[in-house]
Order: sequence, then C-alpha cells, then structure tokens
Amino acid sequence: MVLAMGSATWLGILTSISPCPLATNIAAISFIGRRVGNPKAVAATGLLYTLGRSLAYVVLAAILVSTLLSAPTVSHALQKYMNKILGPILIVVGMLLLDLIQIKVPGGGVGEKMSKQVEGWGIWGGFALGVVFAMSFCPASAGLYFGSLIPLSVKYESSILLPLLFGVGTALPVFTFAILIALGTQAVGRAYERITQFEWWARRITGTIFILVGVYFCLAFVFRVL
Amino acid sequence: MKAKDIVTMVLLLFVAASVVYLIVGESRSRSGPNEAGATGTVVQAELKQVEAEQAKASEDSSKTLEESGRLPEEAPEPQHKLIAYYFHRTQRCRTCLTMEAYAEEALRDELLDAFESGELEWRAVNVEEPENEHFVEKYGLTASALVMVLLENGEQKQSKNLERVWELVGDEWGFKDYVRDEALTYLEDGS
Repeated sequence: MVLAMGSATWLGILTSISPCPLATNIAAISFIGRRVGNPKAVAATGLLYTLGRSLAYVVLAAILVSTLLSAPTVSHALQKYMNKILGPILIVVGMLLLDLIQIKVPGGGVGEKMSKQVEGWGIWGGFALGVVFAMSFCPASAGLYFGSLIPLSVKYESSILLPLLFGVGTALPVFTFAILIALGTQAVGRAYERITQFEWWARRITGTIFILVGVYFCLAFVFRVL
Repeated sequence: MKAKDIVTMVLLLFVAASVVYLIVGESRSRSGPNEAGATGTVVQAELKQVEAEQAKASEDSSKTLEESGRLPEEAPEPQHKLIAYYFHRTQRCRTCLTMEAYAEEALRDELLDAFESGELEWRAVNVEEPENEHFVEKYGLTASALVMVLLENGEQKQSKNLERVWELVGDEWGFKDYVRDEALTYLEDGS
C-alpha cells in the first residue's frame, strides 16, 4: 500500500510537470503567489488550492467507483466541455482582478466591486480554482488519472486516499513555485521598500495572465484555430 | 473613450462571441445527422471506406504488375490481421504526439515483415470525429490510447488496450519494447 501511495503521488507530480497543463499551472502560480506582501495568505491560498484539487479528484473517483457512470463517458465529456467553458471563465475572472468590470450585488452593497470580493475571498478563490483546474482534463492528465490512477485505486480498493494523494501531487509543484516566487518578490520588495507597489503589480500580472490563458483556451478549444 | 473601456469592450465581446459560438456549435452537432441511427451509418461509412481503399489498393497492385510485365498473382487477405489503433483527440499534447511517434516507430522498425505482408496495420484515429466516437465506448477509451485489435477472417477476435503507455512514455526504449512485445504476442497468437 505504501508503494501505491508513492505511485499515486508520483502520478500527480507527473501530471503537473507534463507540458499540457502548463497554461493553467501558470495561472494558478500567479493567483496563489499574487499577495506577495502576505506569506501567510500565499500559503493558505496554496493549501486551499491543493485541497480543491484533491477533493475534486476524490469526489470524481468515488462517483466512478460507486455508480454506474462509465469512466470513458465521464472522461470524454470532461475533456470535451470543461476546456471550452474554462476560457470565458478565466477571461471574466482576469477582468475582475484588473477592475475592468464590476458586478453590482443586489441589496446591501450596491456598487460594491466584485473584484474586492474576489480579493476578499482570496484564499477561497484558491479552492475554487483548484476544483475547476482539476476537472479541466487535458490528454496527459486524463491519461494519468483515468488510465493509471483509477485502476490503481480499484486494485487497492482505495477511492479516497490514493486520489487525495494524486491531487496533492498535482498541486505540489505549483504550490512550491508560488511560494518561492512570492518569497523572492517579497525579499526584493522589502529591499527596495516597495511591497505595496509590488502587490499592485502582482495583481495586475495575475489578471493579465488569466486573460491571456483564457483567450488561448477560447482560441484552442472553442474556435479551434490553434 | 478611454483605452481601458476599449479593452473591456473588446474582451466582453470576445467572451460573448465564444459563448455564442460554443452554444451554436453544440446545438448543431446535437441536431446533426449522426444522432439517429448513428451506429448503423457509421458502420456503413466505415465499410464503404474500407472497400474503397481495398479496391484502390487492388487496382494499384494490378497496374504495377502489368507495368512490370508479370502476370497478376492472387494476393489473399491474411487470415489473421493485427490492427494497431492509436486513438487521440483533436487537441494534441506533446506527450500524446511523442507516444504516437514511438508506437508507430516501434512497430514499423521492428516488425517490418508483418507490415509488408499485411498482417499488421497502423491506424491513427481521432475519436472526436463523429464517425469515430463509437470507439470510445467500444474500447473503453478515457484518453489517448494504443489498442491492439486482432482480426480473424475480418472479424474481431480479441483486443487489448496497452494501458502502460502513459507510464512508460518517459522511457523511449522501455516504451518501444513494451509495444513491440505486445504486438508480437498478438501476432504469434494469431498465427
């Protein structure tokens, strides 16, 4: 079982470092690491991103193991639709982060900016991002999850622990990079006493990355011109 | 109008265009001719395609023999035939392309005789094309996959999805050995 646990984590790491989820990984790194002045917030966002991914894989594994839904149908549908929906979602979130649009909340805080809420959710945004990115399967992640992890989970009758470790593995490289970038930027920011300015830029960069990745997903999966 | 407003408007229009394109595309594909009786149509289309290919191959082979001055000989279809299917989606990733190249190289380089005798055939198939979607359920495909299908007198005798390809793709020679050995096992079983 220890070997299976190691394999599940390694399969997750392999998924994360394979080239096909690169675009979403860059978006996740910038989102997690954007609050450069607050390392605790970066760590909490990273942990919740990991939790979001793990939970999504666990729930999906449980559904596949305990219901009659067939893995090919689910995999086919997720690969076909999630990547198509992801493009417009990323563009809208990027626009909120850049304050290009605001959503007026009915009742109470009329005129309250959605971007402030996104910032306020902060760490919970990491959780949502983890769930959405986990379900946006690309060919390599689908191959490793459905083709390698699910058979391993069935073999060891572990529909919770092994998918959970797989999720941790997929988030680990992203989390590590985000922490390193945030700490490095903070150190430079402190040296020049410009942490606030760095945070302002980090948020703008994150918003821009989200929009660029969103446009890429729309062109590649919706319009199919890439 | 400020530059910020122009960027906002362009992005919102792009999002709206993407959503509309997505919805229209989906509704068109759902109401397309492949919904009702799709399997029958697909099978007929496949058979027609195979027949057309066989007729063309036979014609080409006769021409070559006539041109060389030799008498045409009967070239019977092998009783056992192994088809190596590489199934993929429209969106290709680098790992998938590598996997396809390794698999085809392994078979063409090491089992050339079987290729030349017609006992072994390579087919790369996009499962997102409507006429190929039925392969997803037929072979339980969850991602890009290499599936060996053994035919006996044109009927499928057995098939195997080579599941270790994802695990081995980082090791070129391990991957190629695995594919070659699996193909050899099937070819020997069939003979």
